[in-house]
Amino acid sequence: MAGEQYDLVVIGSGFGSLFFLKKFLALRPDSRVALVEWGRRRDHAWQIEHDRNSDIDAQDCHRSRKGEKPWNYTIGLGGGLNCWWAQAPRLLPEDFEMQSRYGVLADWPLDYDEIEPFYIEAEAIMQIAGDPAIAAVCPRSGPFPLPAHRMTTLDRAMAAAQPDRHFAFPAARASVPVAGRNACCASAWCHRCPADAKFSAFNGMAEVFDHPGVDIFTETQAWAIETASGRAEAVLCRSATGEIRLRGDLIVLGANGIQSPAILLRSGIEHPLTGVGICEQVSFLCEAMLAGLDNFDGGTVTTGINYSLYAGPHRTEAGAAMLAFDNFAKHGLRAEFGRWRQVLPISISVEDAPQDSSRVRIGVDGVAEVEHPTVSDYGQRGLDRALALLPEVLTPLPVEELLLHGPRPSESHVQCSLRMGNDPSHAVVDGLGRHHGVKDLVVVGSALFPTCPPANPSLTVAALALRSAERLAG
Amino acid sequence: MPLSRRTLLLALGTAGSLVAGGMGGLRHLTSEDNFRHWVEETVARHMPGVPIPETTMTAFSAAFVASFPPRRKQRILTAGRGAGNRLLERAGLRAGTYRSLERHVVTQFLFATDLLDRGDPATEVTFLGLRSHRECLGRNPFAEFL
Repeated sequence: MAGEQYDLVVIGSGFGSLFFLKKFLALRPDSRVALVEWGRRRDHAWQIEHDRNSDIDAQDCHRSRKGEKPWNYTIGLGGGLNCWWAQAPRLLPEDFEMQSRYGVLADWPLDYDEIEPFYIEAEAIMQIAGDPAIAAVCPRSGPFPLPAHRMTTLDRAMAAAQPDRHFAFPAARASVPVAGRNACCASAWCHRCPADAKFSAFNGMAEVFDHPGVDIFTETQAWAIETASGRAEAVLCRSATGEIRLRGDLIVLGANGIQSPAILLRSGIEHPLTGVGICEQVSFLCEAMLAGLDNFDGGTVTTGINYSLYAGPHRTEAGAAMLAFDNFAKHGLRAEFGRWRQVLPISISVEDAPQDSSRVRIGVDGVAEVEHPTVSDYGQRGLDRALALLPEVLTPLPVEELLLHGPRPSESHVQCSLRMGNDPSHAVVDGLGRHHGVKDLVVVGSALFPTCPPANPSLTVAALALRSAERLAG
Repeated sequence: MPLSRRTLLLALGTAGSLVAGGMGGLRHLTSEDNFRHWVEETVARHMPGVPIPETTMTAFSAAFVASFPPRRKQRILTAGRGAGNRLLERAGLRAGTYRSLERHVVTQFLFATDLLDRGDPATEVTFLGLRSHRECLGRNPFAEFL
C-alpha cells in the first residue's frame, strides 16, 4: 500500500496499461504492483444499468478552446476497454514507414515484422474474429482466433469484386461464444455491449485485477511523477483522503493522450515535444442509397473494411482513408416502401498529421488544456480525395445516390502527444516507450504513436504494450 | 411629408393586426395537432396499401409526437410540407433535415409496430410501443449470424 516500494507503478488502466501489466505479471508473477486509476470501478452490470461507462465526464477532465473539436475518453477502471466498439484492425506495413516510403511524416522506431508477433498475441488475448483473406494487406503469421462475422450481402458483393481490398472487419466482438463472453448480438450499442460479447476490462482482464500482487487505487488521480538523479521514483497522487506517494522501481504512464502529457508537464519533466502533435483521425459519415439490394443482414455492427483508399503513393500528398461498412441503420431506414434496407452507412476514417500548433498544455491550476486549431492540410486532402473517389470504390454496388452527412466530431482516438522515435531531439520516448530524458519511466498507449494512420488504434496499442513489457521485464 | 395623428394611428393599428395575425398563424402551424397530422400523413404516404387501422395510426402518432424533443424549429418544420423548401429555409433548416425526419418517422413506425413481423400482408398492423432512440437505431432485426 502507500509507503510501500512497488516493483511497478502503473498510471491509468486502459489498453496500454493493462496489456503491459498482463505481460509483466506473466513474466514476473511475484511482482508488487500499484495500479492508479482516476475513476471508479464500474463493472459491466453497473454500466448497463446506468447506461454510461463512468461517473466522470471526460469533458470535465480537460479544457478545450472554444469552437475546437471535442476529445473523448473514459475515466474509470479499464479506461477505453469499457467504451470501445471493439474494432480491431492492424496497421499496414507502410504505416510504419511513411518517411522512408513516401518522404512524409515519420517512420516508427519499429517495423511491421517486429510488431507482428505481438499483434498475434494481442489478437489471441482479445479473441479477435477476423477474415483470413485480410492477410493480403496485413500479413499474418497465424490464424485469427475466431471466425469472421458474417458479412452483409453488400460486403460479399464488394469482396467478390475487390478480393484484395474488401474484407470482414476484424473485431473483438465474439462471433461465437467464448470463455466469459457471449456471441455478438449486432446491436449498435457497443459502448455498453448488451450481450457482453466484446472484449472488455472486466471480462478480459479480471486476472490482472484479481492478481494478489496488484493493489488497485481507484478514485485516485496521478498528479505528478517525482524524479531524482534522472530517474522516476514515485507517483504523487490525489484522492478524497489526501495525497499519497507511490514509490516504484518502474513507472508506467498510460493515462491517455491528454492526461499522460499533462502529468509529465506538471512533473516538470521537460521535453520540447511533450504534448505537441495531439491529433486523431478525421472522420466523415455518409450513406449510399442503393437500387434493389438490401443491407443489414450481417452478423455484427460493422461488417466490412475497405482498403481501396488506404495504401499507395497518394500518401506523399494526402492522408490514407479507411472505409467501414456499417450493418445498422445509423441514419434510419429508408422511407420508401419496401426499400427500407437499401442503404449502406459508411464511416470514412482519414489519417491526420501531427501538427506543432496542436498541443496539450497545463493551466495555472494544473488542469490539461488542449489546443487543436484544425485538422492538418494533409488530413483534409485525404478526406477530399476519399470523398472524390468514393463513388468509384462503390462501383460494385448499385448506388443511386450518395448522401454526405458530414464529419463526426471525435473518433475517441487521442494520439501522438508523446511521440516515440529513436532520436531524442524528435521524439519524447524511444521505441519501447522509455522516456528519453528520465530513466525508469515508460509511456504506453496511443500517445506514443509517431503518426496517426486511419486504422483504429487499440489493437496496436495492445501489441506495443505487450512488446514493451516483454523487452523490459523479460 | 408629416403624418397626421390619424394616419399614424391607422398605420400602427394595421401593423399590430398583421403581427398578431402572424403570431396566430405561427401558433397554428406549430401546434401539436399539426405535427401529429404530418406524422400520420407521412406514414400513410410511405405505406401504400398497408392495412393500418386508425387506432394504430393515432397511437403511433401520439407516442411519436410525445417523444419528440419540444423544439419549436422542429415543429415549424412540420408546417413546411405545403410550402416547400422555402419555408424550411426560412426556418433555418436544410432540405436534408426534412428528408431525415421522414426517415425517422418511417423507421420508428416499422420498429414500433408488428409490420415487419406479419406473416400475412393482409393482416392489420398493430402498434406495439415506441422504441427508444437506442432501440430504434441500435437494433438490427435483419441481422443473420454464423
